[in-house]
Amino acid sequence: MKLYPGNFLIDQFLSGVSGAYANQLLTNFGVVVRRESNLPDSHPVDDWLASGLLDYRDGSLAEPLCPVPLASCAIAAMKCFCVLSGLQAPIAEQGAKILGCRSILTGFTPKGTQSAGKSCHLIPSRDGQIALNLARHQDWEALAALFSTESSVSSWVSVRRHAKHFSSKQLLDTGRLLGLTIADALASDSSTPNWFHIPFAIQTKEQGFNQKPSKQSPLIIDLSSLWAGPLCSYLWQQAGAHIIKVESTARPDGARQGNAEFYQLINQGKHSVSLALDTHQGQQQLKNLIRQADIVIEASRPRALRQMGIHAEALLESNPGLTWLSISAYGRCKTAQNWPGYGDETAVAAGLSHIIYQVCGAWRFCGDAIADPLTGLHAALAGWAGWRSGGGKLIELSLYNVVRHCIAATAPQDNDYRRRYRAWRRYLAQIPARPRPKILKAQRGTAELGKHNHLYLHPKSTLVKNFYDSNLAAI
Amino acid sequence: MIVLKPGTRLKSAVCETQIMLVKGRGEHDLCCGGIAMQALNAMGSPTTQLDFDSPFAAGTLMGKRYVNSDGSIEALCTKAGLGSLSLGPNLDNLLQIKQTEALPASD
Repeated sequence: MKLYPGNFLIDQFLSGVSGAYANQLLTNFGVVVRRESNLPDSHPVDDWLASGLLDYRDGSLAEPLCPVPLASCAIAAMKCFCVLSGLQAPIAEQGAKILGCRSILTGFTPKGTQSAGKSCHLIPSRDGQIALNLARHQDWEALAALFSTESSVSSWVSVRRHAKHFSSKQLLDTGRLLGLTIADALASDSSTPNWFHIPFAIQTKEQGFNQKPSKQSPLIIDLSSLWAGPLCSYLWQQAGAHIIKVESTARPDGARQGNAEFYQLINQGKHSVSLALDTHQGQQQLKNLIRQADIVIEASRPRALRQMGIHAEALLESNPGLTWLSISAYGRCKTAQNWPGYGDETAVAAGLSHIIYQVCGAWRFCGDAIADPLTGLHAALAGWAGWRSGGGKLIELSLYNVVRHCIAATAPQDNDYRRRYRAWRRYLAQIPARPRPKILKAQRGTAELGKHNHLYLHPKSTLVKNFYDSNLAAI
Repeated sequence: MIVLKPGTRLKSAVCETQIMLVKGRGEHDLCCGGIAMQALNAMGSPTTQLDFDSPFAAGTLMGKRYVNSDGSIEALCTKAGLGSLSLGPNLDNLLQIKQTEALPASD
């Protein structure tokens, strides 16, 4: 899939594992990277330490070392985004830190078979291992139906007792019908996936990267919540984009109720609009905003927007310069589009916990909802590339495929993770204890819900654009 | 009357609607489109068609949960259809869409 026709040479210091991964990401766009590295290769273990996800303060690790270089992948995605957007250091150095920022701020780390966020657990089924994420109260209410029992299931002990009587397939089939976030930790799909798809595009002349975009900075409508989507628009904002965070009045971004410093970190400086999306008027207001946007980013299941009368394809037809970035758990294809997912169990579905199990014999999570920040970083790259190449595309990323891509693209020879694990442990043993990296801190405040409604919800729909154009310098 | 328990899967006799019971037990006359629902594995596709002017034709939405007035019965729509869910062919006993829960603070 080429977003950029022709060759575009980029001189970058791309070295080591992260350099190779960055190369692979950029070649997806037809971009040729000239590697002229003078820098020493950074070891993937150093990259993991830079993420803050490995607690090595006393010279030993409480949790197993993950033999997949995901921190290196994060650094690579960030560097690629900086190359395309012209962003410079220090932002470019933050790729690894983004993976660990929430864990450091909350102090939460995975414990045994429990995720850092505590709501997801790895549990044995009759014939395998699954991950079940019960993040909402209503998920617990659905457990009686999942296990076909008349008694209520209200503790993880009870979940484990019931789960061992069902096959993984039974639990996944029923769990997905019930809208539960559930994953098979042993599912094996060794094919290398694309990390993004373009399921729909308007037939327009490709502008190509070399042409100047019509605007210096895009106007972005961000409908996403929690981590991956807001992180992505935060990165665009660093590159000069103007972000309008649009939330439902009835169901605002849940992260507003979570760790305040973390929310501020990835939502700082964004304008906030709240709409009554369960009403016709609110849905029309949203369509008006989208018609004037350069990029829309959303992380909802397609049916949620369709039930509101919001159709990505139709809106692309009416605004052909638009780039529509869709983040989902498992993709927009017919079978998977209704499966919900969060950052912990989608990584399990991609095979991450199974790899850790292979090297240390224990079922463990890696990091804190790690698919979320990884996907946010990759999405920033793909969405920016879509905008710079003229828009008119629906670009789709899924948490599942991004993690699968990171795994497949960096797999060791013969898939021998044990050997790599031993080598990485030897490397780590030479490193003295290390303090955790410094916390990323927000520079600006966040807007309370709906603070900027008065700027954007004027009955004359062209106002957004006027406001935007005339106030660009001031924003 | 159908014996219900959590996990029971039913289909409409007059439209495409399918549900899974999330909460509730015992015998109930759970209807869709005003006609008693059937076990999911019952033979055949809908035999009678739902009248468009039927008062039980407000439709079901995939992924939404429907509850009765005292909240003792809760059904998740696993396939959307044209009929409305009710207890008995009784307009006073229509199941209502349960308010979607707030998003979690973190995952």
